[in-house]
Amino acid sequence: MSILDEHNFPFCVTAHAFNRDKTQVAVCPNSNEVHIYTRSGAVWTAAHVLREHDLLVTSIDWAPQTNRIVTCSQDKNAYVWTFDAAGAAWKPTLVHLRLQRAATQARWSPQENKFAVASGDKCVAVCYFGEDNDWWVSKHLKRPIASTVLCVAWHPNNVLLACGGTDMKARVLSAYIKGVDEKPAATAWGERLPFNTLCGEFESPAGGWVHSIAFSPDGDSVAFVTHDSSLTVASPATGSVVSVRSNGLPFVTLVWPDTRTIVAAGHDCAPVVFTADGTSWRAAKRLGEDEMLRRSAAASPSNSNSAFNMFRQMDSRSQPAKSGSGDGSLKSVHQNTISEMHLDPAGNTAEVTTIGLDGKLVQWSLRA
Amino acid sequence: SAAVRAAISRGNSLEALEKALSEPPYGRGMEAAQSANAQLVSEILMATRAQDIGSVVGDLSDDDQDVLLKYIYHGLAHPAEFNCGVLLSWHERVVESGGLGSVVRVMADRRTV
Repeated sequence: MSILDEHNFPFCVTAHAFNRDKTQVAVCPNSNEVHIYTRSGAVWTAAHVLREHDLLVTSIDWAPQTNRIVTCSQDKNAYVWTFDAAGAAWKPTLVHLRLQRAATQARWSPQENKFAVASGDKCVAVCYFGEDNDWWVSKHLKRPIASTVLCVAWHPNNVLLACGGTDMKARVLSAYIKGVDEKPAATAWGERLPFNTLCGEFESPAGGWVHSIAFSPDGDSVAFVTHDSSLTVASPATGSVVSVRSNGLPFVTLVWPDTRTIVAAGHDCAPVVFTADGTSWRAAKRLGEDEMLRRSAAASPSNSNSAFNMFRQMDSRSQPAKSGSGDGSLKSVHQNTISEMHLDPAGNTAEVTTIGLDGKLVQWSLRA
Repeated sequence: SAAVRAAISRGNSLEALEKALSEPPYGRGMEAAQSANAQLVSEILMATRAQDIGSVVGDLSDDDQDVLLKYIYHGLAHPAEFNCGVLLSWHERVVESGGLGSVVRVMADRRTV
């Protein structure tokens, strides 16, 4: 569990997405713009700025195979951006979302012919390209969602969609679009599922908003993190809903890289790796803290000003000198809430990337 | 609650707590039951010796610890009726064991006691 790469942006990063080989990253600097950075050697340089939204961009997703970016924003719109090699710029295409409230998250489906946009309008808009009008059209998943949807995740079969939101329930619905999807094979969630069929509804024991949701790699289980500081994993095949309490602050994002590993991160500023433990899950390790210990240990012998700093800090903050990180920084790599975590777009199950409100973009390796 | 009082008089705080914390009276219209139960829990907390608090908290299950913390916050919200000093010393031990996550769960859970 080492840090592969760490970059400091001079702004809070609220959304990010990598292209397939991680040579480019699209980030939202907590504004209505999307900045695309390219990697040259070990340095990220700003390449493009995508300016089309009027309000805060809430989510960015980059389709690895087709190289299209979908962005959605609080201005009730979403755009699909395609790269025009001739003009060397990203061209936006408006998506006909028909939302009355802000869009909260957008995710491409595994085959990249559809994407889902979660919104505050108590619905999820499933969008596909309508050839006759030459723009993206949407169908809304409404029943039985009762409140703002905060997160969506696609099942590997391109048809089932998991969503969770502020009504404190996580649901699995069918997003089958006639004409775009072929009839899917039967899964643990059911068979012959027309659009908007409810395949499962789950909640965590103490309730709380569902911040993030993900299917297992084989699609047979769904995991979600809620504001009551817990991770819940539901498997319809065995009928089990297992909830793992955490001692820290709530998680806001999670990924499920392989069948025995779930990684969650959030207000505690460090990703926590959960491993399968029989039928349940347990927190195995927190990423990055030994790396920070190594860094502070390396720094202190050569830090000849440490006594000066200690008394200066006691003076300015009226705090007694603390052992360890006396300058008020956290033990973890991220110094503020981790806002989003993604899997590697090329499918490498050993790597995840995180962004935080401290402006850091960190790429982690889950192998020791 | 007779069994609970018997356990208190025997000095067995763990058993008393486990009985009092099981099946909390959640729900609307249960205010009378909730305040009666809170008083009962508070009696147990005050009857426990300070040096025993740590071991009793450690022996409680995770669910019971969360429910206990709900009662502690209920008591702290009504300082006129409860002994907040005792509650605070219990709070320290429960949060040592359950972490900030257990406090978040008290705040997030709609089922209040």
